[in-house]
This record gives sequence, structure tokens and C-alpha cells, in this order.
Amino acid sequence: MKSKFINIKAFVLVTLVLFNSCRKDLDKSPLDQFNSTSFWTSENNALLALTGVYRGSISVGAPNANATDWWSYAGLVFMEFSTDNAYDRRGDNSVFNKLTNGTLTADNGLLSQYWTSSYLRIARCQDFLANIDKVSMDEVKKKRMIAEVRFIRACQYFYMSQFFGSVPLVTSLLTKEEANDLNKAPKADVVNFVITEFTEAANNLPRYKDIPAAEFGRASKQAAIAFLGRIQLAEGKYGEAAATYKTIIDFGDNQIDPDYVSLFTVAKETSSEHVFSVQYMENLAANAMNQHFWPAMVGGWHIFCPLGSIVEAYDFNDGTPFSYTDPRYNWRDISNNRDPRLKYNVLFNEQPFKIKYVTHPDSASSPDQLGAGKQTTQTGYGLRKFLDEGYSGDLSNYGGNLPVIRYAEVLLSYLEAKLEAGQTVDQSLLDATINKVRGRASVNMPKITQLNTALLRNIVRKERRVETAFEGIRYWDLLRWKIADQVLKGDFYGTPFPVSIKPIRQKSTIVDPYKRWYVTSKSFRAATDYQWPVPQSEVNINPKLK
Amino acid sequence: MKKFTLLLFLFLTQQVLAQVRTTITGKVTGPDMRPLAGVTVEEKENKNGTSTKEDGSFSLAVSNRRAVLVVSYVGFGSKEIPVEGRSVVDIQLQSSNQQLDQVIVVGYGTTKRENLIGSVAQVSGQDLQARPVTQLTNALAGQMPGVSVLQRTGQPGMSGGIINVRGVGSFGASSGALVIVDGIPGTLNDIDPNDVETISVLKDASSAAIYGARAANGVILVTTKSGKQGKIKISYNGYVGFQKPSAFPEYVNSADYAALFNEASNSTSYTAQDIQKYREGSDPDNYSNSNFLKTVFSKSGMQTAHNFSVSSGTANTFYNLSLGYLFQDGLVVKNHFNRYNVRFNVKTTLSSKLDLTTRISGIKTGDAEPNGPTTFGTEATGVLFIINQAVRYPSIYAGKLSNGYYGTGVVQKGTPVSFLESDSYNKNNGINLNANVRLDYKILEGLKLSAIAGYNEINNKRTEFKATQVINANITLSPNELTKITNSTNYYTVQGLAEYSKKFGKHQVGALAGYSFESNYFEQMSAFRNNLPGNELQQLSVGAPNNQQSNGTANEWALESFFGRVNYSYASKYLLEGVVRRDGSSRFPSTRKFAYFPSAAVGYRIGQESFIKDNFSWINELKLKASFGILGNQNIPNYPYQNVYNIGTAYNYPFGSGISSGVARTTITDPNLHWESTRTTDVGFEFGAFKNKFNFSATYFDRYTYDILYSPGGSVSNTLGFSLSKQNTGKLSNKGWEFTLVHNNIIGKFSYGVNANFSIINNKVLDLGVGNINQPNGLVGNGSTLFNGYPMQIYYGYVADGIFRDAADVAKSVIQTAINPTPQPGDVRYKDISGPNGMPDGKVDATYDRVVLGSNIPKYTFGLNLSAGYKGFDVSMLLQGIAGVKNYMNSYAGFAFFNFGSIQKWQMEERWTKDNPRSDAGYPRLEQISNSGTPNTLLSSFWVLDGSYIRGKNMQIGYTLSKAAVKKAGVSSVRLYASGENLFLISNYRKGWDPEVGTNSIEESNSITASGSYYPILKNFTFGLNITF
Repeated sequence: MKSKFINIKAFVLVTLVLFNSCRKDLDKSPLDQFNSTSFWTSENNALLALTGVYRGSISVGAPNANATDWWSYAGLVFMEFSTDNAYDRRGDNSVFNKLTNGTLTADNGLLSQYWTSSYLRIARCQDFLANIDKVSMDEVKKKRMIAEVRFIRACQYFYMSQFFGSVPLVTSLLTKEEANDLNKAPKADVVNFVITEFTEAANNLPRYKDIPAAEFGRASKQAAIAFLGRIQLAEGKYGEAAATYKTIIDFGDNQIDPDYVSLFTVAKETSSEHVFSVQYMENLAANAMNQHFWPAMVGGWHIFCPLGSIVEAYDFNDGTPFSYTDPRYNWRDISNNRDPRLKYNVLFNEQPFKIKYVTHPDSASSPDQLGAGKQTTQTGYGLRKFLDEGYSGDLSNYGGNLPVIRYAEVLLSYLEAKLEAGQTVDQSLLDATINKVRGRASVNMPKITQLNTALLRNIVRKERRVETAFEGIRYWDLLRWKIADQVLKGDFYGTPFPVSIKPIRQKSTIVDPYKRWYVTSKSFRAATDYQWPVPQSEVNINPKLK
Repeated sequence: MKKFTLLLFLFLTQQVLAQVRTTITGKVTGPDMRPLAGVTVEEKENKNGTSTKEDGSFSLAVSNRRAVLVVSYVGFGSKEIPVEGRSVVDIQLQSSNQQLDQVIVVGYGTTKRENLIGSVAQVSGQDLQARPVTQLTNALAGQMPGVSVLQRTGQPGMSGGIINVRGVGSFGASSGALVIVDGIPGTLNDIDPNDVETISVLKDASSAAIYGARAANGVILVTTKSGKQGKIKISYNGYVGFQKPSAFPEYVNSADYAALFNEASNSTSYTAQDIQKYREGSDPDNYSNSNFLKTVFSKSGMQTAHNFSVSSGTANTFYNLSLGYLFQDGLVVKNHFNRYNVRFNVKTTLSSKLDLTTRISGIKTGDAEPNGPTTFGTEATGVLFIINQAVRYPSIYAGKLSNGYYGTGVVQKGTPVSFLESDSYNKNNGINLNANVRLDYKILEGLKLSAIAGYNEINNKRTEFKATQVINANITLSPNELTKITNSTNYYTVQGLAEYSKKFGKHQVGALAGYSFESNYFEQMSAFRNNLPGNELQQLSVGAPNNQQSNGTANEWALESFFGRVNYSYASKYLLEGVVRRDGSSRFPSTRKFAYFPSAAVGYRIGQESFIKDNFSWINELKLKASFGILGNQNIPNYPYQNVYNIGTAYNYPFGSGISSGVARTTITDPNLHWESTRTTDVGFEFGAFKNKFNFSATYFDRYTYDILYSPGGSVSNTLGFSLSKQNTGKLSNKGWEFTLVHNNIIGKFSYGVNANFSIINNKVLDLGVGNINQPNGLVGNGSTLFNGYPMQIYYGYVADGIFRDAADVAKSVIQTAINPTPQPGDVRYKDISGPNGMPDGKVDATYDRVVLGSNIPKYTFGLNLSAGYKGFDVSMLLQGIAGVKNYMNSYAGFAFFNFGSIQKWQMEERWTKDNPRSDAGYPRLEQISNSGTPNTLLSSFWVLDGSYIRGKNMQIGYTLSKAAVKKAGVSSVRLYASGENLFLISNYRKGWDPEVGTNSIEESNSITASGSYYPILKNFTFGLNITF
């Protein structure tokens, strides 16, 4: 009997030991994430959160054709596909093309991408602003951080107000019930909010020149003021806009860079001409612009197809407008005798980029042959701006920054604001603005001397278009100038090929006199297309947003 | 002392009896009392045996009169009959599947079928063994009612099916069943089917409730083989075969492609000369006619598996040792899978009261696949990417050029031809070690205490290599890159059980109390370098130092449970059972961790009542049963309620020349998160008649799930700016019927069996909580994927009303501009369903004209197993199918010229054209379709197709050599068989596509998915051999 008790004892003992040694707490916390209740304690942690606000949903390291953010390259420069500057290689059914060709519907995927990424950033900003007061740190630094976050939030509403118009104006953290029950705020309220925020943010942001190199890319006073100028300009507050832009010029921190080509590559990415830019870095936070932009013959996806319209907008180098009937026109090298920026911005048939770029429809062996259903140019032209000829690594691993606002835009906007406000425009103003832009060493176009308001307006608008081509602001310009319904109407052509065996694509029976390749037709609807509809997916959830 | 004397006496009697050699005679008959010839009768102890004569009689000399006879016959399984001192033993065999005394494995124990109240389906290892499937799950398809197994892919190593027990039980938490292997939670993947003794599926509340916390979606119990009393038994089971894809889309040749491209792009991109050159094929470099899909699926993959097992049982020790090997070659080069299994189960009697059971198993798996090219981004990964590109790339693209360079393909990264010829690969190696020990202590008569400890360690190593590759003189894909990922999972459990069972006259009482604790820790590390000089050396330190990246993470969970069960039966006629379990999970906040899950069941074997027994003697069994209970679900990520700031590369941003770390709060959590619960009611009956030749059962179930753990992202406006973690929101219902019909019979030497099962499931969302949005068209739901009153996994879209024949047709149509701004002849015409006044308003828009087009959850699932035997021959066929299900045919699979993709033959043949403008065309006018679609590709009934099918899951023919013949060779049985899996498919689906693969599963969105990403389900033909010594 004794052994039985030993058995029981041993059994119970073993069991108890097993259970006691194993019975741990059922409270488990994440092992690789910060607990939110104990996070807001130090300046260093605040900086971590600020970095997350800057990042937003910009994607890095891989080609991304989706507009993941207003400041992702696909969100910014792809907007050119919605204009007369460029055509999306993906064709008429591309979402960017459909924004403005008269087929915009509420289920266009871009709408929800922009909408979602905006509110994501806004929520991150809101979270930062709601918690930053818990951190005890240097007050000046804290004020600067708050100003940066308010700047970024205001940028979201700037874009939203310009494209969607009236949107829900969220300025604090929401619950899910609140989010599902929002009303749209009138556009004027959104605009006023943006103006106030940019104004106040500018007060606490450091000047461009005071930002140390290690912090390059963080928002400066000038960045906030330049965005303030944009919204004032767009909302017709020309006098205020002129004064706003003047402050940037008066600071004198930013300069026109003499080298136009390098300005858009990694070489000059920290040039003071870049008032604000999206930061990229090879390996750890790279973009895939090269992959998307490079022509097929060097392994790129050639998504960017400049239209004949922008090519034709560049003047001859004496400042006279381009014409196909002018004797200086040479179809084999269309950049002959032209504004040098044409060649800096657009790649043509037979021009070199590392090797020869061949788009002629007869060139069956060229990867960039036009019109053979290949994934390459649909216009015969290629993008040259942003292309870094010296780059040889993985095309998806490029570290060059993406310009958001350049000083050239500031100068041109200043002139436009003065002009539209009816303020005095004299030669010295022209020399201080448009002629500085045209006159940079690598461009060196003749000075503008026209002072007639109506004529100068056209010149300023054209200058803006050719100078900032493919940088993603043309669409916004067309909307705010209210000329999209005239400009984005009718037929669009690409490269002229007067000599070819293969028939040049034409629209039904319309024979183009210059033998230009027919690309597409647009019919922007004045009644509906100046404002984007709220995404269908959002209306599904909250019918009040329709 | 008296007791001791009695014991001694009994002992001596036994010894005396045991020593008397004697000859047993008898007669074996079938269920119909007809004599059975050729039945094997063996003495269990020493395998000494004989077979019955024509009249069913046998005569066997056994070593003693307490011997146990093992009687076996094809189609009847085997039966053990103790001689118990008799000299004449007449034996009546029942069919093997529905023996009343069949032992059913249930939670923490076993029960006889007659005493079973809950809904439990069981298959025996025998039914699975001969199936040449690589994953055990696929052998379960069609075998059991209410258990749906859909195999969505045929990829080697990944081809396990998706098991749903009684519908899809949640739209938030994962609705997979809990799998318990020998008492320890595990997975069905990679278990050698030869090792399986039984698989039980616990479907209703009462049977599953003992596993309360995780049992809401059913519990699958796997019991592996242990040794049996007797001499050493050595078995070999092996097969070899080859496989082919079950379906294969057909693409047009390059000449047709060129002509159709002109039509789609409304251009003359390809001149008549071009098209002629494509047709001639005289200049293949510039005018190719490739067939990438054929290139990719060029192999006829070999598949082979072997299993050796040794088992024995002596007085104190029973063991079973099993060694298994499987090799499955993919259809794509460099794609294969292999697996080694070892399992050792041993049961030792330490003393008359102590039993120790030890189970040790190890599984080693390895798979390899070709990898996508470097510099193509993360989506260019693995064999699925390569297949996807093969589906996409039109035939005009050259594979390999005459100068040795590769065609550049659509995106200048080469084609599937160069992908497969590159040095890129992915390799996985996994080791899964499992040990569990169980100590049973019979403390008193009827009372047993058990302590169980189990440990499981899973280690995986993954290597991803993307090689440098020269495509042509101008394009070299570079740099190469190497990623190494290792992860490990450590799981342990300790459990204590007390079991009591006692019979008082006609009262049978049982009780069980238990405790269990489980803990799991997962850790992963990955390291990356690129720019390795050359492709030969593939270790991290070879890579360039300037871009080395490493990542690591870990997570853990724990679960603590207390449970108890009582059951009572009176005269095996009235059955009662009650279960309660209290579970605590680390996944819920401290105040909400624990919850109770109770259940109760009653059974009434009315067939045992004399008014039935006496009046309807042909009825063998009639049992009524009902159960009710509440079960839980916590299949959600590990940290669902904690509010956190995420850290990681997705939040970093470069300031200046360096990268800055960032964090962000991305998710709103619910601090009051708690268990998801399912209330299940189950009523049914079982009926057996004519000596159990016919068995029929029917069960009705009603599963009501509430507090669903759901991330209502799709139901909350994006203005929130955060994603939502799991919330307890919503209610769901799954109601349905399950039927089984079994008929087994023997006529002389011919035996046959029919085993049919059929289930009906009605899945319905009842309440979405935060997603309850009143839509203008009257539906209540999130406006895209979930609506109250409709099933889950729905397709919500427009109703296609044919194709616009011509301009006149367009002109007289209802206005389409809200969704198709410029309708043209050849476009899909959408139907005007409703409008603001509840009536058709003459225009089609997203608000009023979308309807629920159907669900991806099958409403009907069925299986039919037919078998027959004649002398040594046996044949069987398993048919399996689903009906009442919709699939969405989109992306590369559905659309021609999608994202620079190709065009399939059916699209060419059925398209609308100007010359043949049919309003009933099977495909709209051709157009180039970007990855964001066109008005014709909107989610509509045009693309949502009937996904029903009937599939010949398995057909098998076998021959068992006569005992006498093999005995001379010292072998006790030999069976040869030929087997075919997935031999045929009957469906209405689009040509070349298998509806079982379907499209990618739809969860939150109906966005266009890359449904060209698939691995076809494989057909295979195998020849096998089964020998037992």
C-alpha cells in the first residue's frame, strides 16, 4: 500500500510542478511596437512620430503606379497624364486619362487613392497634435514640430480643396461612428482653414537657410509661404498672393539654379531652387522613377509619353512661336533651333539616352517602336526630365528627390499674381521674375518685354507650362485658370513622321497635314469635370457625401 | 486475503486455459446471412491463419482457447472475435463503415457510435491510405457531410485544401477548424496519410464544446496509429505516378493576336505583312509565336511516396514506428516538394495502474521554386508570379532569340522563358518536431488521472535568390539579391485530466474534468544583401556591404482552460451529456480574457424500445438526438486590443543624407475586445435497417455567431484615417442540413457499397454593427461586400443585360453615362434596376442599380463514394462537388488585352464584332484594358459565373493477391492498385479554368485581383503497392 501512496504523491507532485512552472500570466504585449500610453515621453520619440508624418503613405523601393500620396511620384508627376502635356502609356482607359477626357466616374480608382492617403496623413497629424503636449522638451523645437505637422495637414486640405472642392473638414481625431457620419464642409471653409494654417505654420517654421544639412527636407518657412501663395492664387486672392510670394523673394534664401538639367537628378537635389521636395535615398528609401520613366531600350517601362502639344509649346530659340511650316522645323530633330528646355525635357526619336532611342513606326527591331502594341511610347516622344544618364543601378532604387515647389514657380507665380491683381508690371518686375527663369545659364532664352496684360498673361502661362513641364502642376493650373474645357478638348497628336512605310495612325479619315501620330481625343466636360466626385466607395458608406 | 485467493484462482485458470492448443471451427456469413468464401481468419497473437471455403466454413488450430480471431474481408474491414473458450465460432460480418460498435474518437476520449449524441463525422485511416494525395486535407474532400474541402491550388507543398465545417462561420476572425493531433493542437498539413488511424470532425456544439475557446468552427481530431497486440507487423505502402494540370487556358497564336490587337486598339498597329510574318513564322526573333503557358507547364511532374511501418504489441509495450517519404515534382521546372516523416508511438505499461504513452514525430519538408527576376519588385516572387506572367504575356513576345539573348517581354525584364532559365530560386526547408507524453494513472476502479505534456518546435529556413541576368546587349538585370529568412515556433502545452466512469445496473455515468495551458512563441529574422559578385556564391557575406538590411520580429500567445464533462445513459437508450469550458486568452484585455462555453445534448435510441424492436425487427437503429451550446473563436492576430505605435521601414523617411526612423499609429483598437461566440443548435436522427445494410442520417443545424471579431475597415469611411483592429461587431447565421446515406451489401463473392453525403448551407449576415449603413437602394450594409440578409463573400455589382448590338441599340437604351460615359456598340449593357423612387429611373448608376449577384460560398456540397469488390478485386470512385456558388472571372483570366496581356480563344470566338454584332455575345467588343479596368469590366453579372462543379476526385482499382499464394513468400498480404486523382471535371465554367481554383478569395474588396495568379490543380495517375509481412 505504501508504494501506492508514493505513486500518488509523485504523480501529484509532477503534475503540480508542471502546471506551476508553466502557468504564466496571460497578459502579453507586443514585442516590436511601442505602447501608445508610454510613448509620448521624449523629444526623440516625438521626432520618430514626426518622421512618420512626413512619410505618410509614400511608397518606396518598388515601382508603384498608384497614387499612394499627393507627394508620391505617381501621385504628383503622373497627374501630367491628365493634361495636354503627356499621355499615359497605359492608354485611354488609364485612370489619369479618364480624369479629364470626359469619362470621369465616381469609381475611378484614383479618387479613393488620393482621398484615402489624404485622410491617412491628416489622421497622423491629428494624432501628433493631440499628444505632443505630453512631451516635455525644448519649446522652440516643439513649436517647430507642431508647425511642420500643421503645414503637412494643410497641404492635404490644399490639394483636396483644389481637386475635390468641398470635403469633410476633419481637424481632430475621430471615432469610427463620427467618421461615418460626416458632412462635407463648403469649399470656402476648407480654403480658409488652409490659409490660416499655412500662415500660422509659417510663423514657427525656420527659414530655408537656417535648416541644417542633416535636416534637409523638413519644411521651411518658405515652403509654407509658397503653398499659401498657391491657394491664394487659386482662389483669386491675387493681391495677397503677390505679397505672400514677395516675402520669399525678399528672404533671398532661394536662387534660380543655372543648371536646368541636373536640377532634376540626384546631383542638384539640394539646390536652393528646390523650396520643397520629397526626399528619397538610394537603398533605404528609394523611388522607382527610373523604372517607370526610362525608355524600353534601356529596360524602363516608359509610362510617360509627352504629347505633341507640349513639344509644340516650346518656342524657337529666338523667342518666336514654333510652327511646323517654319523653315527652321526639322522633323528628324525637332529640337533644332528651339528653346533648349525642349531637349532637356523631352526625348525624341533618334536621340541618345545612353544608347539611341528609336520610336519610328518602321523600326520593328526597336523596343521603343511606336504603334506596335509594345509597352513603350504611345506618342513617339519620351520623357527626358528626371532621367539621370549617369545612373546604372537597379532602376527601382533611385535616390533622387522629387521637386514639389521650385523657386522658378515662385517667381512665375509672383508675376502672375501681380498681373492678375492689376498691380504695376514693369520691365524690372519681368527681369526679376520670368526673365530670371528664362535667363538661367543653361536655358538663356531671350528676355520677355511684353507689358500688355492680355498678351503677357499668355506668355506667363506658356512660360509656366514649358518651365515646369512634367512636374505635376499643369493639371492644377488648367483647373484654376478655368481653361481645361478649352484645352482638354479635341484631338491630340504625337511625333510627326512625314516619312514612313507603315501608315501613320490617324483619327478615322482625318489626315494630319504634318503626318503626326494620332494619340487620343479628349472632351473635358465643363459642367462636371472641374471638380472630382467623392469616391464611390465613400458614398457607399456615407451617402451624405455624394 | 479472500480477494487475493480469488485472484490467484482466476489467474491459474487463465494459465491453464491458455496452454490448451485447440482447433476452432465455424462459419462466416455476410450481413444477409449468406456464407462468405475467401474470408481471412487469423489468430491475432501469431498471425496463424486460414481462409473460408465456399460454404463459409473454416477450421483453425489456435494456440489457446483465449485466443482472439481476426476476421477480415475486402469491403468489410476486419473484426476481432475473442474465442472465450468456445470451439465453434460462427461469425457474421457487417459492412465496415457503419458498425454499431465502431469506436468514435471524440474530445478527450472515445465513445461507441451507439452512445454518440453529437454530430461527429469520422473517416478511418484505411479510407485515406490508398489516396495518392500530397496533403491529407485533400483526402478529406467529399468524405464527410458538412465538411467542405476546397483545393485552391496545386502548387507542390502548398496544395492543402481549405476546410470549412458547416459553412463559413465568421466574416472577421479566421473560420478554420481547430485541428488536434493526438490531443495536441496542430495542423493537418504534412501528416503522412499512412500514419492516420482515424480522423474525426466534431461539428455540433456538444461534441466540440470540450474545446470551447476555439471550437466554434468545428474540431478535427487526428489519431495516429499505435501498435496492436500481436507479433511484429511490417508494412510497406508506396506508389509512383505522374501528374498533369486539370485545366489549361488556351491562348490565340501571334498572328491572331496581332489582328485582334488591331481590332482592340482600333488601329493598324500590325500591317497585313506583319500578320503574315507572324503566321509564317519565318522571322521568329521579330515575329514570334510563343506559348509561354506551355513552356512554363512543360513538365509532367512525377510523384512518388513510400511508407514503411513496423508495429508490435507485447504484454507491456505497444509500438508503431512509421517512416514516410514523399516527392512531388511540379509542372514547372525547378519546382518540387519533398517530405520525410517519422513517427514513433509507444505505449508502456509501467505498472498495473500506470500507463505511459509517448508519441514522437518529426517532419522535414523541402520545397523549391523558380523565382522572378531581380529589379522587378517584391511582387515578382516565386512560381506563381512566373505563371501569372505566362498567363499575361501574348504570343508575339519572343522567348529566346537566335543570337542567344532573351526577348525583353512586356516590361523589359524578360519573359517566363528567361525567368525559368535564370539562376533565381526560392527554397524552403522546414522541420517540425513534436513530442508528447501522457501518463495515465488508474487510481481507483473507474477513475483515471492523466497528465499530458506536449512540445512542438517548428523551424523554417527560407532562401530567396534573385540572380543577375543578361537579357540583351543593353539590358542586364542587376544587381542580384539574396534574402535569408529563418523563423521558429515553440509551442508547449500541459494538461491534466481526471476521468471517471461507472456502471450501476443500467445506469452508465461518466465524468471528465481537466485543465490545460498552452503557450506559443514565434520569432523571425531576415537578412538581405545585394550586389553579390556573380551568381555562384550565395551567402550573405558575399554581398556588397553598403546595402545590408536585417529585420526581426517576435510574438507570443497563451491560452488557459478549465473544462468538464458529464454524461449519463440509461440502458444505452437515453443519453445525456453536458459540457462546460472556461477559457482565457492572451488576445483579450485582462478584464475580458475569460469566458464560459457551455453545452448540453440529449439522445434517445428509440429503436431500442420494445414497441419498435418487436414490431419492426428490420430496424436496427433509430436514434433521435439534439444538442445546444455556445462556442468561442479567437482566431485573430495576437495583439488586437493594444494601442500601439508601429515601427518599421514603412514609417522611415530620409532627412539630409541619412535615413530617420519613424513611427506611426495606424490602427484604432477596441479596449473592450472579447470572444466571438457561436450558438449552435443541432437536431437529427440516425437510422439503420436491414442488418445495417442501409444507414441513413439527417441533421439540421443552426449556427448563430455574434460578437464577431471583425475589422470593419470596409464599413468605415476612410476619413477616419486609421485602419480598424478587430471589433466585436456583427451577427451571422449558418443554417443547414446534412444527410448521409450508406448502403453496403454482399451478394456471393461480390460486395459493393454506396456512401453518399449531401449538405445544404445557408450563410446569412444578420447584423454588421458599425457597417449597418442604410443604402439608398434599401439594402443595409457597407455598400460593397457585406449586406444584412445576404451571404458573405458576395459579389455586389450591376446586372448585365447583354451587349449593345449597334448604335441604334445604344440610342434607345437606358442612360448608362454614370458608369459608362460613352457607351458604344459592343459594350456591356447594364440594367436599370431601381431609382430614387424605388422604381427604374431610366438611368444606371452605382447608387440604385447594383444588386447582390451571388456568393463565393457554396450552398450545396456533396460527395459520393462508390465501391465494389469481387474476390481479390476492388474498385472505388469518389465524386465530389459543389453547387449554388459564384466565381468572379476577372483580370488576366477574364479580360482580353488586360494590362498588355493576351487574349484567350474563347474570348476571340465569342466576342462582339462589327461584322457579327450579337447582343448575346459571350465577350464584349475588344479593347485595351488598363489595370484599372473599363466600363465593360465593372463588376457585373457578365463576369460573375456559376462556379458549380462535379469532380472525379478519386478512382481506384486494386487487386489483393490470394493469401495462399503470398504466404509461401512469407508475406501476409499484397495489394496492387492503380489510382487517379481529379480525373474529370464537369462544370459550366469558362474553358481552361478550374472553378475550384476560382478567383482569389475575396475578403474586404471586390477590386480587380490578379486572378491569373494560380497554380492549376493537378490530375495524377499512380500505381501503388501495399505489402504486409
